[in-house]
Amino acid sequence: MGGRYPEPRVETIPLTIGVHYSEHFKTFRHEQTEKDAGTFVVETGKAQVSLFNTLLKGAFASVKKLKTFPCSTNPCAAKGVPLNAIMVPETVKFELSIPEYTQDKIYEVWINYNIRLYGPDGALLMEWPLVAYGKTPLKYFKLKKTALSQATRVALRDAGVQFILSLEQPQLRQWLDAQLPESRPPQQLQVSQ
Amino acid sequence: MKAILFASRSFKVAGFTGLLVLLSACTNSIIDEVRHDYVDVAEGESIVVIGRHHKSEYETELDFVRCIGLAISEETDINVIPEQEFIDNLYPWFEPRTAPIRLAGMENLLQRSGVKSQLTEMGIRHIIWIDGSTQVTSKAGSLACGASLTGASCIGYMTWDSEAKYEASIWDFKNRNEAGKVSAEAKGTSYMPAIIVPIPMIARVKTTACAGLGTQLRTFLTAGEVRE
Repeated sequence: MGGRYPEPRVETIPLTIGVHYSEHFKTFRHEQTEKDAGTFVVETGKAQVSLFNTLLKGAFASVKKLKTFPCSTNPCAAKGVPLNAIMVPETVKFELSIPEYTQDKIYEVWINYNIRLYGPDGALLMEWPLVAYGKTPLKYFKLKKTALSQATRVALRDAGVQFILSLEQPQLRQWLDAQLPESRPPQQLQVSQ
Repeated sequence: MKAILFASRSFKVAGFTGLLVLLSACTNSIIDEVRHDYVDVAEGESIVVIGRHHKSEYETELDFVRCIGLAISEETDINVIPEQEFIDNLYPWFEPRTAPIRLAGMENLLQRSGVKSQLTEMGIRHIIWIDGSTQVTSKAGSLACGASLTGASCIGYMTWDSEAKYEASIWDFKNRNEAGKVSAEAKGTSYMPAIIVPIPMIARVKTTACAGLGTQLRTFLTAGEVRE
């Protein structure tokens, strides 16, 4: 599955970020065989690359894609452009629950991600998990393929929500703010709800 | 020839509608309204109707939200922005995990970069939250169907009760308050006797709830004009 995702409406962090997608991430595929329901195959590689490209583009002033990581130069640069940090998302686990096993007869999807943030010297600065969840709207529960891709799409949107919220965690904000040009005051963000 | 064809089609449409009416079981509904403030949607202003999707036990159906949007836009001059367009334009702040539950949450949301300006750009005056669902509350009877070389047939009798319960909260973005709440509750019993062919008589509770809630919301949103 592919798909477009909306650009996040957030204040752009004025930093240049590199992003590296591993082959495992770019081609991620989940296959699950259930005794009474057949085989389910979900391919999220393209969709999650599209999602993270959109999220990073909205969240940071400049995003450079890195084909390989660790970088060949120290400090890390993309076509001569120095990078403030490098982000490497990874899919850790994909779980699927089918209508046969749920009381409400819906498809449910959980996708576990691990986000790693490296400094320009290639040292790991931080890593944090994201657990995204999606379920089918009930009207789709009879159409297997549509329902499954709908649940996965909802989970990917949820991954986007959690990624944006995760950029506000104090430890990460502190580090990001420290990289900002001195003239710019640290951003004050409030959590909604 | 065309006239005969038209008459034949009209007859078929009328027959089909008549059959639907005959095969619809009875429903009864209650509409309730609480008004805190008079509202009026001025020219150039828009509203959005959004479903609540954050609860684990049920999810407000997308088709019901669309039905309410149509019920308002088709009978008035009010511009209703489609739910998905609104949610995408404000991503990720109106997703199930982040959508404000109370007005205080909305105030916090407006502090975020770009949210207030986007709402203003879209001309949003009211956000109407729809919370609720349609559910089957009880079932009885059984139906058995079989097929052979000579054909298929069913025999038996089934009945089930359905309940549609929805509440609309009207948030006024301009005055930063909750203008009021409108709720609709529709109940009905559906029957399906089968002697060779099943004959469903469906209680259309969701349709009834949409019609009732839609009409009441129209009145609510245009009451400011009446008062003037």
